[in-house]
Amino acid sequence: MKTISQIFYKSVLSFFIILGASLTMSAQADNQTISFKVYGVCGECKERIESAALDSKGVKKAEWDIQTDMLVLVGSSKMDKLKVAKSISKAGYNSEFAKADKKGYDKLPGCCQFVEGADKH
Amino acid sequence: MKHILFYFSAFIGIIGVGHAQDISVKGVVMEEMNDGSLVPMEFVNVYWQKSTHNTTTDSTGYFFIAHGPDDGEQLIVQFLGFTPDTIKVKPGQYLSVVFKEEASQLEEVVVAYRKRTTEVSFLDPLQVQSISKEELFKAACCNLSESFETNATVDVSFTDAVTGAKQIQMLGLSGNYTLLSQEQMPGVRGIATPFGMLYTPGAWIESIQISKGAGSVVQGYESITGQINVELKKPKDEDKLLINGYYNESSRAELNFFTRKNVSPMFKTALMGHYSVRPTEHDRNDDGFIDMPTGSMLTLANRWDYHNNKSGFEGQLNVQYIQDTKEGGQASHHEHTHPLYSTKIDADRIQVFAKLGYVFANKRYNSIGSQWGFTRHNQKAAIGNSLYDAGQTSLYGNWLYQSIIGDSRHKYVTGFSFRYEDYAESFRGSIYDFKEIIPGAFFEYTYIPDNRFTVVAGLRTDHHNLYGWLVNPRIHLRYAPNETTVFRVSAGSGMRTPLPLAENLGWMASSRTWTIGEPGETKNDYPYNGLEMEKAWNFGASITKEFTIDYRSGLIAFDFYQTRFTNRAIADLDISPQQLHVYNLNGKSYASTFQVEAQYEVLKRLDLKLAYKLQDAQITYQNTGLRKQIFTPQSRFFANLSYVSSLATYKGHWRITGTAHFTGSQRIPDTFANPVDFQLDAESPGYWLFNAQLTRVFSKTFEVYVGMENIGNYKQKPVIVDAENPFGSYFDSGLIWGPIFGREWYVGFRYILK
Repeated sequence: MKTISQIFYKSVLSFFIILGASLTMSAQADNQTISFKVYGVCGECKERIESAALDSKGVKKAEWDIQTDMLVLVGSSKMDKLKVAKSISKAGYNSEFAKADKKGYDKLPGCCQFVEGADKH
Repeated sequence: MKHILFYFSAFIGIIGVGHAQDISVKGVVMEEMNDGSLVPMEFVNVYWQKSTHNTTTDSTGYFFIAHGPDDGEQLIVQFLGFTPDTIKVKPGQYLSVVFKEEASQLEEVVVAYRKRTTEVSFLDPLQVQSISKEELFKAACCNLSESFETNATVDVSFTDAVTGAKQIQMLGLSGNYTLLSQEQMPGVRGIATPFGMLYTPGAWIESIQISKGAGSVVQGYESITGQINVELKKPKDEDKLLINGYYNESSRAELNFFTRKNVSPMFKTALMGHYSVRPTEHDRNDDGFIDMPTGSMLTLANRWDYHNNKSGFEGQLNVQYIQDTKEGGQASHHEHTHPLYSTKIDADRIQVFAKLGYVFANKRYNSIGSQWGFTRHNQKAAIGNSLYDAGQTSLYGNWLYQSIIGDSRHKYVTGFSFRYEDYAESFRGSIYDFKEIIPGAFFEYTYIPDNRFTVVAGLRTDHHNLYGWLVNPRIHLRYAPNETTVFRVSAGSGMRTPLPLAENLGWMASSRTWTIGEPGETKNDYPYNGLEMEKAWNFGASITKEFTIDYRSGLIAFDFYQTRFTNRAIADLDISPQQLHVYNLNGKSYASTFQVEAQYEVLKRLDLKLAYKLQDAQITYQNTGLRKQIFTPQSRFFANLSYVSSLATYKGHWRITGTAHFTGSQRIPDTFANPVDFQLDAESPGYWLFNAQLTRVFSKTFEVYVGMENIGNYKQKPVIVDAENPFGSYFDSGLIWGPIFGREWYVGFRYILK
């Protein structure tokens, strides 16, 4: 029984060490919020814009609003809006800071291949 | 009907982590029907536009959302197929939202969020874990038994070398005490127990729900430790075509496919297939016996779905056919001084399920349903000199009625069920035949005063033609003091008919003489020479806490469950190494488990899961009194780390996952009466197993995976007692506590057309 309780304490301990470490990291994290416009038209666009933004360095949370075209990002100091815009451009979308990459745009599903100014759907 | 059919499938509430405050907004969401009546809408997503803290409506259309300082004033009420409604609200306000279907406008609304691959339901009063398809993709997953490789709750035993039988354990007890269901219909049970886990191909599985503790009375009286429900891919699925191929080091090759077609707007159909084969004999440990049986399995399924929105009728029909052949025993190339000891087990099975439901117009909470099942299973086994033939015909039917009492805070499900089972077995010349005819009735009441509290109280009474009246009460309580914490308590009784031959098939490959029940001196007419029904009570409690640290979510859960048997059929292997006696429990038997599990996205896209389980299972044996149950590890530790290279899953990316399992020492049946050479240790050593898998997703339609199981190449030694003399009096190949084959690589691909 001794070995079992030892294993148990070890695993509980290691869990709290990990938890503690992440808490410390988050305490150090000085999050900032930035926002800019990305032009999309539908729900599928939302998924692609947000995942492209989240894949960029430092981004912890990304939310795009279909009504206002506004992308709101929360992230660490490593987050760079130009890099995020580039990643979104590669995914095929126009934004305030970058034009859509042609290759990315061609790969978009039909519902997302908007002519600029197309109706939201 | 949907409510009934999937009543106990896990409903995963997407509960955002909010700052619990007293200031809140409550309300109700309704749909205006064509005739002007209002119907409550379930599963409607309600969230703050600014912070996205969200909740969903319950089956009564009711929602409750806390309001924090960063939530803003705009509340969005959103449901698939309807234009989202944005409302400016003041905290404390009671809202009434009415949606109206606009015939021309069907908008696709995608709510983007990162779902954990194993979710613990927040709203369900039962402690339910849901394993998604994505989680299943983390392991080789050839069949249902392997689906639990990245799960800590269900333990899978090692396939025994000679017969290939594979079973699971949950809450420290054999899978016999867990109700296995397929889409809430009775799944693998009875004669199919030893191999049934292999009959559901992994590639067909859409999701699995594991609920711990006494289950719902609607599903029957058999769930004692819990329920494992498997949802297969459906005709209404998104995927049009799936092809999966797999090959591993033991030369096992496998091909799976799924395809679906819309025959008409109301009729949909799907066809599924699986063929696997292991043609080559392997004897890595050089004991003369092949390490796993060779053989092949073919299974085909056809499903039909009928859905009529106008009339309210829904229906399903599923037909599955299985053919399985296994050969094991001594390797044919080995030099033997006697005839070969060989095993051949052939099985075929046909199962048909049908479901029909009707939802009353304008009263979504009111529905009638009926479910029907028919199964025929044949199995012929020759294990050494022992012949075991078994057949089972099952017929199952139930009628369910769901409604409310007064208002929708008080819901109930009630109905009748009927089961007919015809068993015919013969083993070493003895014949065991019996029939079960079991009509029953059940009533389950659910009280949901608000989002915080739920009570489910159920009672079922069945009349068994052999065992008389069976009464089983069950109760579940859920209390969520805030949006991230849930307490659950459950208690209930369960019963089952023991099937001592099928359940202990692995031990047929031994020199043991079998005594079933008390031949010649039975005091009753029960099957198997007087074995009584197994009866047990299960009590459990759990706490689940969700948290978000730095925008990454996690959860921690503690649970404790105890099963206490009032009767149990004990398979006693300790009397002597040459005997096996199955008899009624006379004294105490219980199993207690304590489990702690934690999940957290430790770094962006890197998920960590840790679990530790402490188990204590004891049985009062005839000769030795209260003792540890055999082959039940006292402790288990589990860790899984998975990384995905991109959240944009529509394009190419990588997935990598690694798992470590520790299995504590297990009691091995006594062998000290054998000559010294044929004695085993009293306990197995504890050991670690490591698995890893790498998946390359090339596009939405194609992915390739490679993996390795048991990287540390750990093997049980010895596997077989007196392997040299399989017809001698010391031979035993059923004492399995660890892996036999050792390290094994595998490769596979998936082709998916949406």
